[in-house]
Amino acid sequence: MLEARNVSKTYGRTKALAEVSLEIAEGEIVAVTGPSGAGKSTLMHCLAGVVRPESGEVVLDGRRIDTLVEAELTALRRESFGIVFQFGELVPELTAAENVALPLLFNRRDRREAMATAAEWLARLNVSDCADQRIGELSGGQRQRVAVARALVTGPRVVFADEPTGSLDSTGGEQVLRALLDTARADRTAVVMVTHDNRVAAYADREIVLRDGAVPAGAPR
Amino acid sequence: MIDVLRMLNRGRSRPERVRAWLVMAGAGVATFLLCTAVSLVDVRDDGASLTGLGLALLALPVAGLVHQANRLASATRERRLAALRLAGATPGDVRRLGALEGGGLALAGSLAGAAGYVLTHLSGPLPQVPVVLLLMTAAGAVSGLRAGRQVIASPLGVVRRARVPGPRVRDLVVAVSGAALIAWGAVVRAGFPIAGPYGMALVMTVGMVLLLVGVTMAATWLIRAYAVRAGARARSPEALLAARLVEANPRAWARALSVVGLAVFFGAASGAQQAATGYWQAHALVDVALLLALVAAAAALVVHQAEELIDLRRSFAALAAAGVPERSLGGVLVRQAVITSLPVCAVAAVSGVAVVVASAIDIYQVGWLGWAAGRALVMTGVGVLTAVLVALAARPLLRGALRLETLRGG
Ligand SMILES: Nc1ncnc2c1ncn2[C@@H]1O[C@H](COP(=O)(O)OP(=O)(O)OP(=O)(O)O)[C@@H](O)[C@H]1O
Ligand SMILES: [Mg+2]
Repeated sequence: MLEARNVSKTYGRTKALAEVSLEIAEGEIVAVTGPSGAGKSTLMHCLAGVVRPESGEVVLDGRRIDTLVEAELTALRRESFGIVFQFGELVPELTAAENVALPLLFNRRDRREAMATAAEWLARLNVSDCADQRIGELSGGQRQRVAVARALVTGPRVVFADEPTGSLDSTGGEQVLRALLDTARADRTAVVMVTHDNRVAAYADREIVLRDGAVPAGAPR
Repeated sequence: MIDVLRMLNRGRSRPERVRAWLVMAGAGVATFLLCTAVSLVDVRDDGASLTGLGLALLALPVAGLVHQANRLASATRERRLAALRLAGATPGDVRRLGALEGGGLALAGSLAGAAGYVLTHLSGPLPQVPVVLLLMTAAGAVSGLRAGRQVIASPLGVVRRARVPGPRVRDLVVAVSGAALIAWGAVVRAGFPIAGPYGMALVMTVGMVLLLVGVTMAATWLIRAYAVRAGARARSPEALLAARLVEANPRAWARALSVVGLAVFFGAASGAQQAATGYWQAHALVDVALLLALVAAAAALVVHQAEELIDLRRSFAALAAAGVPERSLGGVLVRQAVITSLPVCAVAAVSGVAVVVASAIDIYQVGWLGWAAGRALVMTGVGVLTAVLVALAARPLLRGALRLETLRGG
């Protein structure tokens, strides 16, 4: 469904990605691992249409997305992808429920309806109690659950998560991850998650190991 | 203490150097304007006195710029100051550092401004120069002292948004006593008991500062109340975000808009008076001063906008990555400008007209109200337009904040 074909990306003299190819199937859960600086985040950003590769193609459902004009690409990210960042990156001035409703509102859904959907998602991730609290008042784990809800609320095809539990302790991180993967599995949403943690990678259907911007020959892919 | 300051300065980044220049330039210009304003105070000539008042009015937003720049410091230096705190510096140390730096920069800047004044006014009156120098340096130190507050509160950095208190009588008292001082100075003029015209100028300046502070505090809760309403009614995500962002930080907006509000107030008042007296020439001078004040106020708004974008960059960059178009985020900035400037300018315009009408209630004719209202409406529009134009001009800043690099690293 989502495919990278010989994708390369350089920053200055650093070759962040070198001819990486991979394919992610409908509803598949993929962990991207590898040492620091291996290009994991860069790969994820290329797949998610946040960064354009220099060469190679990124294809979603048979349609090249790396050549779309910015406005189309932005709309595609909004409608087909969800993103979870390491620190959540929620809007601190909004309540948890409003943060989750935000993507729906930007898809021009009615406010009342968007808030109702947001409440359902907060319940699915077990953070209903936090609905009316501002982000500053939440714990790290609660924030990440809200961030997961925000990424999933539009019913995306793929959710990208860059070390979604990197800022949490191991049990807290594991619970958030379970919540993300359970909901994704139930809805057949594909997940691409970047992680340093082997135990986290064990939850995935498949692990892609990156080293120096490439998938080494013989490595699982 | 000085050693620590040197150490901090050695590690200065480019934005910090820019800020230091902003502080010095602002202090310099404010000093020059204030010295000139005092030299123009001529008890026999209404025109010159009005120009002096206009220049003093102009010096305020410039001084405000100094404070804004000092606040910008807390955003850019935050991490290093926080590291100092974690390394064992007491809150007092951090505060003293801020005061030392703010005062030093203000002193350097106002020395240059004073030199400029003395060189251009060799034959003019000079006794006010040391007083203005002292005032500017003290103001710089106080502003530097207060700018580090956030780091002082928590060594782990920013917990923004302390709860904003509701309306307080204190705000009103400050504003009214400021207005009273100005009125006193204007009425007694040369007959002022101490130091004649200079005493009057000083009293009126103090009055102006008090008025500005009081108006700012009142504007804080006015803006917040309006933002809460706007948030509850918002239909679009842009409007919701704008209202909530304003609601979380109304004080900064009030500060940035206070001079816009004052300009609208004086503009509306002068219009109401014009309708009655037709005293065109002096009013034209006031209008020029108001226009310049609006320009300076716009500069303060730009600094505020930059400061806000530094705060917002991570959440905005994350929204952009999640597919929110830049146009929408730009729309958030414009809506913020409207949500904040509309209530401030409307209230300022209405009170400007009201003050004039009330003070001349026995002779004021209903027929004059049409002109007064028209002028008040125009001033409101000009005030809101200024804020909106600044928001539109911040587009390049916004684009910079949305770059993905923002999300890389801490
Ligand atoms: N915007 C950028 N500017 C300059 N260099 C960059 C940029 N983004 C990535 N790089 C470089 O590209 C390489 C890969 O970076 P990337 O962030 O993808 O690594 P990563 O595998 O995610 O590392 P980590 O596990 O530490 O997050 C690194 O050498 C990095 O320095
Ligand atoms: Mg990374």
